[in-house]
Amino acid sequence: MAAGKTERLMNLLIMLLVQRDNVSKERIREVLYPSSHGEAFEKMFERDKEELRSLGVPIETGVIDNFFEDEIGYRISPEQFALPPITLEADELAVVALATKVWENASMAEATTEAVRKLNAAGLETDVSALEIVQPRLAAEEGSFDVFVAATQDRQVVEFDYRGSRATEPSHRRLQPWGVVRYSGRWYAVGHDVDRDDTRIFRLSRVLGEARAVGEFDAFEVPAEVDVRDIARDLAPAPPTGKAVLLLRQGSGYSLRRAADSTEPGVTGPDGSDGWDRVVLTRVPADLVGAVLGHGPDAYVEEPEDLRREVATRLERLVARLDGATR
Amino acid sequence: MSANTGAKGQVGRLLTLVPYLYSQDDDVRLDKAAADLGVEEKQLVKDLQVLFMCGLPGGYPDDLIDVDIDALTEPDGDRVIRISNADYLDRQLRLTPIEATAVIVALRALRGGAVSAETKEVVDRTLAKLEQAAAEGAAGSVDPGEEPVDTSLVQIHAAIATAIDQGRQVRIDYWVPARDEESSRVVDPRALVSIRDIEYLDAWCHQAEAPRSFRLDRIRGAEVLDTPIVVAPETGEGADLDGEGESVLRTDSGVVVRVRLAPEARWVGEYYAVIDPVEQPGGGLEVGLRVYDQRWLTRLLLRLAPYAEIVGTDDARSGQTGTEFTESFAATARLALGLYRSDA
Repeated sequence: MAAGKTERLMNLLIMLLVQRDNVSKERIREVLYPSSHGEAFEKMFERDKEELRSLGVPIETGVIDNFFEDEIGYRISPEQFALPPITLEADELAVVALATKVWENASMAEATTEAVRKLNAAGLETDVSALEIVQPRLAAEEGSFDVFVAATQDRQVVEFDYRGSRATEPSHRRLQPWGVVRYSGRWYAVGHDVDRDDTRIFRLSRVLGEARAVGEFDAFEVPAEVDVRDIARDLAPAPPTGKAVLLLRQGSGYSLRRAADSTEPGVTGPDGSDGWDRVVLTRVPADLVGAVLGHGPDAYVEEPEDLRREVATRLERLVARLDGATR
Repeated sequence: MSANTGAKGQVGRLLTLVPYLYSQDDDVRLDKAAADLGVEEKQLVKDLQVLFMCGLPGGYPDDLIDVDIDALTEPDGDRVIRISNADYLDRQLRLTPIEATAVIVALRALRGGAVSAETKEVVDRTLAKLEQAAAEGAAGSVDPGEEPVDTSLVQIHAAIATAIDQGRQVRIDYWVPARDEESSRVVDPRALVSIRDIEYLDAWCHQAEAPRSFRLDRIRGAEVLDTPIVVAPETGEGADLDGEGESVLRTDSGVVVRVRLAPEARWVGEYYAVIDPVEQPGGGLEVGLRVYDQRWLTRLLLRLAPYAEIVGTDDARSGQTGTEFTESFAATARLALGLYRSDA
């Protein structure tokens, strides 16, 4: 029953947290697992410890110095357990409140919200109007994003199928991920490619199917001199000409026009009519694909080619789905 | 909390709840705690009933954590959460690596969006505190990079806020999509209103001689004038939304549309206020979205293409069914795709 188990986990945590010295396994068994013995107890105790650790509770293992033989003991150090005292000023709380709106990725958004709760910033009235800030949005729609981020933290190897920009056939890859980096609007995993024995980067949107973290935790170390951001900058293809050319139907696409460097009014559009403007953007906004898609039949990509293809492909998949549903 | 069922999820919630209660200066009522912590009231009571059974390993009644359960469950209870004897749990658990990464990366992204030096300084201060609080080396592995940001909107916002404060008129260059024209007009600004992530300026428009609301992202320039406002705001007045016939001060409750999100579009569930989210097999999510303007929904669905689909609506009043909307949406999507097919 869940309540009984919660009770046991809480009591174990409290016991180890309030004792100054290591607590022996036998003492833990006596107090918290009185009806379990031998292997059944060992199993249950191991599982409970793991569950607490996975919540972030640092259970330390040490040796109890007995007269006859040394015994293994456990404790939770209050300093390691607790968040260091942190006091946020009113304006800092406002910044933290904004942070919960940045991620457009469910698990990262959730983790941010949880972090903000732990900072005791939940439920406080915050005034964000004093901040002069453009609310950034971090989209990470790639299904493998969460897997790579978690594996980076746990230092676990990730296996996945990947189709490079020039490759026609997908290949199976194994990577020790050092970091996940966004560069010119795209997410890359940076790390050591186990099979090619070299530093490589992988664009997450080109990972096919599911990426899987495999094997042991702490399976590798990130070399001390590594700066994942520099690696991404060196190895990632330069931003596609750093420029996008769009056609916008006159009187629409205002959010895209706002970012435009130049506008050529009254050009012929893809539908053959004249009511279009050609808009050139050199500061390409984040998630331009999403922005263009959101404008539907009022926005059209001329270049670059990969942006154009991505928009067209996503529309094709959408229409195929809708046709399938309505017929 | 990721797992809301099971013992692990419950322990996680309790470890957040106890320090939260200890940190509050005033009595905390059940409804406030539930809202602040993002947990349902019923669940919160269940969690507290379990907490009531936990405590120091002595086994004496005094060793247990005390929770005033009656106040929460009895009909005449005052619904205030009172706990005692849990001082050793009064501090929040350390951030997990993923929590530290998520919040720090979000702050780094915010830093890039800061327009003024003052705001940058506030973000930097916050970042420094959080980086110190997080485990060492956390968050170094995820880098949001630097994205160009459009800062003009913030400057317009600041200019208008100043004008409202000082009771001065503003000349705005405003783009009206329905008429496809941009015009310059003088307005008496009253308030900045945010509705569903869109900001509006509520003002008296001297060109229209009427109250008008202007979408901030359609204001291309704003100049604060020396002249004071002449039309004082009246209360309870519904403003017209740039001639589109909608009031910003809306009392209409909209239509709830159920939308099924594939994993790629799950962020919508965190980003917007959604109603009754339901987990789907395969990592998707079905949510209810309150829709006031179908164009908004059309945009969102196009933006998410092809990772979101409409399941249905709760609305019988407007006569607009989910199917009808899906049909008009499909027509829009086909038009958009047609642009790319015609030149193939």
